[in-house]
Formats: sequence, structure tokens, C-alpha cells
Amino acid sequence: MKPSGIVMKILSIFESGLFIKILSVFTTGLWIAGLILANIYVIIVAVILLSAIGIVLYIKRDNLEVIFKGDSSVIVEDERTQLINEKASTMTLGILIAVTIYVGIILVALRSSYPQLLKAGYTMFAVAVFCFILYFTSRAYYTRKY
Amino acid sequence: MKNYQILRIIVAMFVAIVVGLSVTIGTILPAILAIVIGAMVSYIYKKSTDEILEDERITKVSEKASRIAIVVFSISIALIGMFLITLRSEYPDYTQAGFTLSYSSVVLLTLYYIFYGYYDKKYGS
Repeated sequence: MKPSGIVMKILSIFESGLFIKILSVFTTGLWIAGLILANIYVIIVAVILLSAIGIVLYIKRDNLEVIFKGDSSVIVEDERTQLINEKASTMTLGILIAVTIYVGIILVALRSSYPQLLKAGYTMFAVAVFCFILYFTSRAYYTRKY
Repeated sequence: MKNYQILRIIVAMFVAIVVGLSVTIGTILPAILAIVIGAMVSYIYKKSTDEILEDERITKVSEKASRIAIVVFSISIALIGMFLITLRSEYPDYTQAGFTLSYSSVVLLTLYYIFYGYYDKKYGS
């Protein structure tokens, strides 16, 4: 392989969908870390990376679907797997919300006996509320879609 | 379907009031009783009625919504839990919340893979 071929191959990695996806997740992580730590340098790095992603996406704006969805001819998930995933998710979500609420109620109600677990109880309630919000938002979206 | 929705609202209100009062007082028994009674009333009505309670479209929408909710939820709580545990020296008050979130994500994944295995067998692996 010629040296220019190797350079082109290395450059093509930076334009691949997987690399951009990994970089976006990393940048999001930096944002969150920067905000939690209140560290301006981490936020600056996140802004620089976000600008770089923005530039690449602007240049490749005509191929965004190919970058993020990949080759549509490749079968990633068949109908059976999709059905199993959806059924398993429904059951998991129902049981998780129920268990979270019950455990939360028990921990908060028994605060006089176990005061050290009170925060865990409130966290359980927050988790259940967050889960409900996510579920009803996505349900509203799919109700409109279908 | 309309009657079932009304019944569900009434049951939810009853359970919420009793649970709220029981949590405020600090006793667990009324809360457990209210939840059990609510679940029983809802179950008995479902079994005894001839109404169509859920059509195919609602089931499909519910399943799709659950899947998206599970994906976003698991990633969010795992990340938030990880951050809270990592930052335990700066924010020691939130360490317990971090552990609770992390354990929740473990329970979520365990439940998910149990049901995945069950449905995988059911629909012929």
C-alpha cells in the first residue's frame, strides 16, 4: 500500500459513523462531567470537540443517514428479535416500576426504624417518576406516529 | 374501555391517598393493604368484563414505548449512578443515591435478560 493510501485510510476512520458516534458519547460525558465538577477546562474541551463534530457533520450533511444508520442492506435485527426485545422491555419496565415504587414506599414509611435508608427511598421515587416520564413521552410519540 | 379507564382512575386515586397518608404517618400496613386491594379490584374487573380493554395498536405502541424508555432509562441511571459514586469525596451526601441508581440498573438488566430468555424460548430460539 502506498503511503498516501495509508493516510487516506487513517483519515477515513475520522469520517466513519462509529467514530462520530463514539466521539458524541464521549463529548456528552465531558459536558456532564464538566457541569458536575464545575470545571471550565473540561467544558472548553467539550465545546472544542462539539465544534469539530459539528463541522464534520456539516461537511457530510448529505450522507447523515448513511453515517448514523449505516448500510440499510445489512440486517442488524430481524422481526423476531424486535418482537422479543419489545415484549421483554414491556415486562421489565412494568415490574421495575412496580418494585421501585413498593421498595420506595417501604423505605420511606419505615424511616423511624431505618433512617439511614431514607435517601435510598427518595431515590427510588425519583427513579420511578423518571421512568414514568420517559415511558409516557415515548408513548405519546408512538401514538402520534401510528 | 371507558368504564375500565374510570375504574383505573378511581383505584389509582384511592391507592395514592392511602399510600400518601401511610407514608406521612410512618406505618407500612395500610399502604400494602391499599396496593393489594387496588390490584385485586383491577384484576377482578379485567377478568369479569366483556369489554375490549386493549387493541393491537395500543399493545404495539406500548411495546415500542417501553423499549425506548428502557434504553434511555438504563443508560441514564447507569451514568448518573457512576458519576455520583465517582464524586463521593466532593458530594458524600449523594453516594447512597448513586449506589441505589447503580443497583437499580443491575436489577433492570437482570430482569431484562430473564424476560429476553423467556420470550426467546417462547418464540422458538
